[in-house]
Amino acid sequence: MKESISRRKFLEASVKTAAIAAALPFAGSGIASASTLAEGSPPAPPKQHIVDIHTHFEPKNPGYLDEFLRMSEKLNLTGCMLTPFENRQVVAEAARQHPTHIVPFGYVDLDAPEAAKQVEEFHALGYRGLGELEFVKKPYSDPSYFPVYELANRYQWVVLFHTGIVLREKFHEPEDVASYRMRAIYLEEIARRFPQITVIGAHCGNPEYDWAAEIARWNPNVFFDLSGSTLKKLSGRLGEMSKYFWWSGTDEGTENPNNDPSAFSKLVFGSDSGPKDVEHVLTQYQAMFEACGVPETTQRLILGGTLSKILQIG
Amino acid sequence: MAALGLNWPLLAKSSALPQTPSPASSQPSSELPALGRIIDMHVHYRHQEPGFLDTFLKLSDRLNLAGCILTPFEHRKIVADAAKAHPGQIIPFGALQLDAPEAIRQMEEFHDLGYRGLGEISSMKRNCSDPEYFPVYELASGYKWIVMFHTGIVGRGKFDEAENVASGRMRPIHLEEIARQFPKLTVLGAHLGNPEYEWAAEVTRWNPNVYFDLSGTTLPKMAGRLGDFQKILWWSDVEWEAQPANDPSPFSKLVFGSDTGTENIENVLHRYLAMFDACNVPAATRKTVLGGTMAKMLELHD
Repeated sequence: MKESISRRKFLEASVKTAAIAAALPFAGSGIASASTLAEGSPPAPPKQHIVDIHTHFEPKNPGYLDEFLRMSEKLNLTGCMLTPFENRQVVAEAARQHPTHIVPFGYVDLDAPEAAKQVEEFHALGYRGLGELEFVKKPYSDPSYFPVYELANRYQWVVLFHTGIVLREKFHEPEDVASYRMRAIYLEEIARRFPQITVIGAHCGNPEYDWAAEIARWNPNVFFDLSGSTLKKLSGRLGEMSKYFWWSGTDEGTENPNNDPSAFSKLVFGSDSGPKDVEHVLTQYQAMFEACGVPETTQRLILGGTLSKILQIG
Repeated sequence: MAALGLNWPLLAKSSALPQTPSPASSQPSSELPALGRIIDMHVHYRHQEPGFLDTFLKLSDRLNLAGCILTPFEHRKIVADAAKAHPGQIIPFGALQLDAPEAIRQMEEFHDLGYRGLGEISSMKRNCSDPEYFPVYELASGYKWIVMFHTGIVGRGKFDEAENVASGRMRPIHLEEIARQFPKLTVLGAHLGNPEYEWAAEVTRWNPNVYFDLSGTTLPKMAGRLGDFQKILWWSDVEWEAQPANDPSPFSKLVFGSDTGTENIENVLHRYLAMFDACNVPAATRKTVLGGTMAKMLELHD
């Protein structure tokens, strides 16, 4: 779920980004920092290809695609663009023109009677997955949603689900929204019943990180991103992520991407931010890597390697 | 182009523990202190392992350990015979599939053969507290049996085939309802609800007929912070209306379970001992956890 950012918060975030970027130049991961991107700088080493699983298309921003493509070029980033059905054509066309930068993902309302039909149309347009699925009227694993999952399974798609606490948009009107319907625990059943789907949970189940991690541990087709408020909430204690992703170097996990022995290889990069803020989220990931001693090879998988392989891009 | 579904091969997965195993019949790598009689409530009968019962009996002799042998229906007779021959070492438990149409009939046959309980109940198609399963619990209650449930995250057997399994149906919170609806039943939860340790602890705090073991990955996961169990089992020195015995320690709501092969049971014992040390568990409570509670329930005498 995209969090709206006020101008004040944005400015604060920009200042913090600059400060963190200066302190964390992505030397280990090969990510280009702001300083290496300045005009006239010496040639930078090859940049890590980043894949962002969590990029919301902004239909109300007429310059959105241009902004995204500038950022994408600068950071060597591909975005899975989460697209409402009514905007499907424009994003499909942009993806055709910029296949290395835009991977189209379709948003459907799981409770809408036409959801399965919309999924078929997304597929016909070349969409590669679904997301961010959210605001469901029943728990994600309810059988009434199985027709959508069956199609996604047939297409061998990636499906991104919101997990955990979800924002409240209306404070004075009733709304039929409940975070518990989007618990990470429900992704397990979907992953087991539909083994050809790659299931990605946004926000690592915030606050149920322990469940999210255990489900990722046992299910090769489940991954989580750390977008949203998780990395901010844990910023003073990022090392605690090692308590949740605890099984590195043991035989207690299932198969990981590239047989990587780190439990952190069950994470992928997701920003859930507008183009101006993606770099800030990268610095948050980098801070977590350092706090938890995540190996460089694993960092590369998280930032793009795993999704590149799944989506066959690179 | 469609995204590739993941088809990574199954990693060789077992409940093997990281330490080098010591053969059951040989001496352990480090001596155990005198622990009194140990009762392991979580020993799966390994029918595919030749000589399993003999190997178990050797270990049982050496460690003064009795095991609740969790037995699939098709192997009920061999384990029943072994239990009759070695009543102080083998306690037969029936592994029942709650969704099987013949579950009740199987329970009756287990009972006729002298079985003492059910377990490990796992991988059901509904929440384990679903009324559909109440006939099983009613019969078990009538038998005054112990019923041991898997709780929390559950292993995935098949990665490329669809399976109807969900850990959410086996949350420790569901055991509370079973324990309340069937107060004569003794409910054991395996794995302390991993990762819902706090729910497991709160459920056992309020229900005298609920206990948990620490088998599985919980103790390895918590190895660097075993003292955290004091935060989970927190209610020492406060009024505890549901206290089952005279032991005031909340750790008395744990029982010993290994959920591993005979070669690793001793390693699990060492892990329990490390947790006891980290949490300053009193000596009397340690004995209660490792065997005293189960011996009383099962009316086993030294």
